[in-house]
Amino acid sequence: MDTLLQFKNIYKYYGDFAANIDINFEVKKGTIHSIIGENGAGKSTLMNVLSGVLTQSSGDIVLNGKSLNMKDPNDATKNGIGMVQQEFMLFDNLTVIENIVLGHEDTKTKYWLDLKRSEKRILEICKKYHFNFPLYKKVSSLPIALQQQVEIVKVLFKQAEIIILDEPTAVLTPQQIDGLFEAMNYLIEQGKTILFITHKLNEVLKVSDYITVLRDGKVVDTIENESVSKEQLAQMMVGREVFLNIDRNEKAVSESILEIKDLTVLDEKHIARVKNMSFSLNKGEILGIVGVAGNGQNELIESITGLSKYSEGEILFKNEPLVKANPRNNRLKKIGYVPQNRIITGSALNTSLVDNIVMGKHLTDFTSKRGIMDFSKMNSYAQEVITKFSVKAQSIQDKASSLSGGNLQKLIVGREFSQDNEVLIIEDPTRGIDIGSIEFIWNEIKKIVEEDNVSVLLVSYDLYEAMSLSDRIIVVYDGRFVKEFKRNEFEEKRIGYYMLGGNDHEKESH
Amino acid sequence: MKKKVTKRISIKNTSVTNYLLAMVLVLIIASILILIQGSNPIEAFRQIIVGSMGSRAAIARSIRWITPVIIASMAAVVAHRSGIINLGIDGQVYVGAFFSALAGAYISLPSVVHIPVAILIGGISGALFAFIPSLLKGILKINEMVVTLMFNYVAILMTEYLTMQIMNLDADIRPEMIATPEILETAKLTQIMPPYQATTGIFIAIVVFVVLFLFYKFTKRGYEWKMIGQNFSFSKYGGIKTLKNYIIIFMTSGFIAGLAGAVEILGPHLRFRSNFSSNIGWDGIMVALIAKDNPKTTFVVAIIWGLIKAGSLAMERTTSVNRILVTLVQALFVLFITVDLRELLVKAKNFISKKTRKEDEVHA
Amino acid sequence: MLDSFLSPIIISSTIRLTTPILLIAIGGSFGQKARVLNIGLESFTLISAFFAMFGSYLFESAIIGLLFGVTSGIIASCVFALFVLYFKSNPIITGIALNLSAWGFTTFLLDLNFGVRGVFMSPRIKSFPIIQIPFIKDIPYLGSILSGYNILVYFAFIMVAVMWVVMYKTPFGLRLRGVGIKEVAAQTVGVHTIKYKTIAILLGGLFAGVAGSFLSIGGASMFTENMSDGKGFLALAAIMVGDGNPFLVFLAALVFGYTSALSVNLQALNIPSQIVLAVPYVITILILFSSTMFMKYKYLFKRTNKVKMTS
Repeated sequence: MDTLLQFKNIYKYYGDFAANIDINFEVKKGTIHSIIGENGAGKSTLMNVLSGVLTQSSGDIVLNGKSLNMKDPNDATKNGIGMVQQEFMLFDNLTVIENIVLGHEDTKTKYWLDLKRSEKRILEICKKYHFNFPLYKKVSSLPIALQQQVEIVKVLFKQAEIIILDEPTAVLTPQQIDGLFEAMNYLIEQGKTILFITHKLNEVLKVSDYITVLRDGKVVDTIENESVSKEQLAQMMVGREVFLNIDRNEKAVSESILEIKDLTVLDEKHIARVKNMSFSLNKGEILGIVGVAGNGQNELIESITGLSKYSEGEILFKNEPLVKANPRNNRLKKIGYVPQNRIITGSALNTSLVDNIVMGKHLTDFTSKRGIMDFSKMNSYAQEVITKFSVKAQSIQDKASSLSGGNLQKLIVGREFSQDNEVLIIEDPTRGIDIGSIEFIWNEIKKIVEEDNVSVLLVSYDLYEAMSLSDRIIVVYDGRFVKEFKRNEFEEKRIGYYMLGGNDHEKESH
Repeated sequence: MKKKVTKRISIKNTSVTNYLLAMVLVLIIASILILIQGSNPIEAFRQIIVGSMGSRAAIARSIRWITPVIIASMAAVVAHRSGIINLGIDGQVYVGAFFSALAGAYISLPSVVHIPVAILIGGISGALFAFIPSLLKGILKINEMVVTLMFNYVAILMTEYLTMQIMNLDADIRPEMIATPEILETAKLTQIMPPYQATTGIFIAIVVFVVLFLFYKFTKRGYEWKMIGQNFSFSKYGGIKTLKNYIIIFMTSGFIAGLAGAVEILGPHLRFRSNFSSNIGWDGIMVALIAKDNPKTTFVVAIIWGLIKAGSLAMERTTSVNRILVTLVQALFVLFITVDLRELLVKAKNFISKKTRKEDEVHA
Repeated sequence: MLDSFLSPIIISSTIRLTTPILLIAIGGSFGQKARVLNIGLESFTLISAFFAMFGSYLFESAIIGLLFGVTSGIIASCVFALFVLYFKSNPIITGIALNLSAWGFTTFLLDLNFGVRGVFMSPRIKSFPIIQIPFIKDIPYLGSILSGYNILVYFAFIMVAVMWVVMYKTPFGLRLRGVGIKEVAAQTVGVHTIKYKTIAILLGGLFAGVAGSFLSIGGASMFTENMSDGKGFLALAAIMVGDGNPFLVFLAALVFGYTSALSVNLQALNIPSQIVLAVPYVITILILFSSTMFMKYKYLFKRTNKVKMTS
């Protein structure tokens, strides 16, 4: 097999942040080449560069020996590169055939759509690759597996030779996944080349010819799929240099303070994202919830924090049912929340630090009988919080937008930690911030639990963070509770295995 | 679940430089248009100043016009600060005006009570008129812009219809004659500079401003209302009852708009006349936009706006310049400050210097 | 009584009253499909009404007037596109400012050029003549409905079909709808979304230009201050109700035209004109309400699809 595609010294920066660093590897024609890595490893960015949606900051993409200079998706299409994005790029209200042809329509006399001709071409493609879906229905009415087929045909219709599939199995059932793999084989038979992006190890080992592992924006290695084990891959994916050390005191057993019972949460399309999940958060402990992003963590947390409704199950706080979907009630009951999204949910950038700090506490404090706020109290409180939590700012009247990411996060942490909360839901607290702030926040979490006996539910996408801080870890996969680990059982490879879809049955058969 | 930061109807890029640049641009355009019309721009500007502040009559005229602009712009401020695009202020002004005119003409009360009651009735009817749009947006997420625009027309038609019903007028009557009877003496706002039309309404306007200012600055509710406009999700997560407050805010905006209508009737007009409002609602919205929905700035801009409005009336009489020019210029000003003019100028400068540099290179 | 509801006079009035709103709405449909906020339509209409009159006055020709009208409408829409798409100004503020500017500008020009406030009439202003179609005009009932309008009216109704075809049968229309449904998806297939949005806005200006021309030189041969008087907003309502589908928008505009035509008749029945005039606005709100409710709860009516395959 010849080399078809080469990535040469690809760098991609977003401002100061390096998403892709010196990417070098080759893809051979007619192969399924998987690219695996954790969230934030740079997989999607790289593929967006390849498909023309983004342009690399430096480096070359070489196709058949020729360096490509792509400025937009049309250039990529002309070079036979097509991508099926993780989030489908489909036009809900248009029919399937309209979705497939849009942008590259067949026409009669240039201005009149010739759907009949397109239909013929599409049916040929479907026949060749054993795809089967109706052409004249609205694409939103199709089940997701068929929508994915439409996305693939869209790419084939534009005569792609290289097909990029970005996390295609994230939305499929096991049976549908088999169907997808069959389709992939048909494509290869016809001489296509597939780039398969995923974080699921079973699949990688099942279908790949070659595997490239990305981590923190760099290529770890590119290997042939021959007698490679899942554990090896997992280690390559998640292993990191230890640079911060947190020790936790031993935790005595305690009773549960927050209990999730048989929780099921549906998304807007009424698909279950959390499936019958049950677990407890015990008093004074840090419970880590780990899993690759998109496995139901968002929906779980939204239900617990009251920001959205759940459809089945119960949430009990101190053994009493917690009112559904009522963030105000949560606050009054002293359940705090450090949200994943600092800017959208965690703060109001355009207002002062004081305004940001008193939010939530203002419900019960700072107000005299007549509803008048006591500024001096507010200001001194804000000043206390800023000092205590090391927020570097010139004045509490500054706008929140003037803070760096790390300082904003410390402010948010400070706010939630200073409201005498009994339970803290903390979501991805150290994403994208400087090491100094990370260390500070980790220590604060440790402190508030060990000194004030606060209970913390920590959702993290950084396994190292979860392992450093938690007393127990729960692995979530595909909306379900998969496995629990106690602190003395923490082992990166093992936890990673379950995060990536491994389960006990397989483990035994190894 | 997708969370959106509230999109406020506000102008970004409003540094002082941009205001000044916009003002210069607008003055240039105004001067050109005045010249085309055959008048002297300097004279026109002078007349505006004289006509708004140069005599007792001028000052009274200014007070008369500043009053409704202040109140209407406060109504807009309340809405905008919480992310509500209330384009129906004009309609709410009508409704408030109408019902206060009725209260003024048909209820008999001693003056001390009559005026407050009539004004309150105006405010309450404005608030009620804003209720349905608030529900449609709050619960069903229907765009309040279109709904309130529709309600504007409904307000004008409805008040006209009700006037005709109450006064038993024939369908083919002349439009100027469609009016309610003059309000009773006890309902009339006292003229502070007789015989001119400036009334104690100006004090009501100032009170509205002061109350709002204090409200936003010092109260918990004011803090919550401000935060709802800043970031709806953040407020919800902070425990603020967002839906309930949203509706109350919307209705408060309508209430204040109704007050503006009431003060217009109980002051200068003394009766409700069909189509009486000379775009008070739109003046209010534009003032609030220019002032970035800040109560203090809005108050100042409203005063300037009212001065210009009064001055333009005088200018029209003494020069041959049509006062519509002032409206045009005011609208253009709003248009220009939506753009970062300073950045544009910088870009233009760079573009020109790049071109000249290229020419130099060619010659070199 | 039913007689009078469908009498030739009512129907032909309906057609005449529907025309301006219909024209604006057809043009604005493209903006709606591309998810551009059509707040400026009112200003485009007013400006073109003035310039159509102006052109007709200068050259004593309705056709030149139309040319002036359409051109000024397009230029006005260029201003809107410039501010909203390129300067990224808030479309609502831009729209409000443009509407008030249009009112100020046209009133000013009216005064400047003709020394007139309020209404300007002149024998120099030529309107489009009424066309009587031979043969058809003699058919009882139908004849009086189908014949006897100026060319702009026929143009408007024909354009419903033409624009429907453009919207649903051409690549341009398909891509435009894609841009409105999911802009990022359109970008990933290489569609230049800003270009399409700009064209949509300009189409709005073009048709508003014809509408404005109809108002001043479509029979009236005059210009009155603020001549567009909210027709742009009614068109906006029709556009929202029909969600940019030229045919549905046409139906909505027809309802508005019909209720306006009825207002004269209904006054005889003692239903006051104001109530009838208010009907379009109330109907808009009702329709917005019901379509939102429908969207929200329609999933309740969906059962798992038995998908029929075509292959």
